[in-house]
Amino acid sequence: MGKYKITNIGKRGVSIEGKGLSNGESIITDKPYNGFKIVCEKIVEEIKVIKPKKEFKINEESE
Amino acid sequence: MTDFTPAAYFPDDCIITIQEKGSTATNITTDVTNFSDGGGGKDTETIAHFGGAKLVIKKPQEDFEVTFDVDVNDTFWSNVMSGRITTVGSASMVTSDGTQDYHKVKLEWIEPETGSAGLKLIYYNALGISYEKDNAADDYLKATVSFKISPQDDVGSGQRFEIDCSNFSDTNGSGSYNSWETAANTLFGYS
Repeated sequence: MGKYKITNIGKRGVSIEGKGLSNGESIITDKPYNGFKIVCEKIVEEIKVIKPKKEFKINEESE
Repeated sequence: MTDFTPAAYFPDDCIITIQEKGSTATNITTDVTNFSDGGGGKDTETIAHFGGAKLVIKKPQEDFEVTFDVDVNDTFWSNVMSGRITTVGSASMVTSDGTQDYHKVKLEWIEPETGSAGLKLIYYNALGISYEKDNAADDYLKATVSFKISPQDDVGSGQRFEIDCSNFSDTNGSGSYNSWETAANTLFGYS
């Protein structure tokens, strides 16, 4: 799963999910597509790491 | 008296697309200078019997053959004949050691004045059978591309569709005009 950026780099129009793409146009889809002069790039989403604001001590009570 | 208007479709009214199975549909309209649809004959044979009796045998239907005259300026049409394609960025290479892939070939004419009627020819599982290029000194690089289509697939489903709608305002008619193709796309795996 994921998102894909489909770009038509050919001179002919292509149809993807009912939308026509002419030369240089792109569309974001939920699945990959291939075809003549079609570039399909998987969109990598940035993973945000959330650091805890406060440090927790383990076994605080036993100490 | 009812006034009848002659109706005809012209090349400007037509959109032509080709879709390799498992791939996207490509608009090839402005590549094409000529289209022809032949074959599909249903021959019969009559065998005379004694007493003047005649036995008619229906022969199996011939394959359809669809031919396009096209401009050539890239490897697109070679890819129809051989699925062995390598693409790096904007460059593509097709070598002759690949087999033909199945294609959906579609021509759709829309009534030009009001857009209220249409006719479409759809060929499923068409296989490229020839691609002959030609470039005379006083002409440009062009080719003739031919496809063959069996009348039925391996389970007997018809693979050549001819669909028309004489009035898109008719909800039932226009709905079927679209849904018949959608159902066939699903049946043959061209969704």
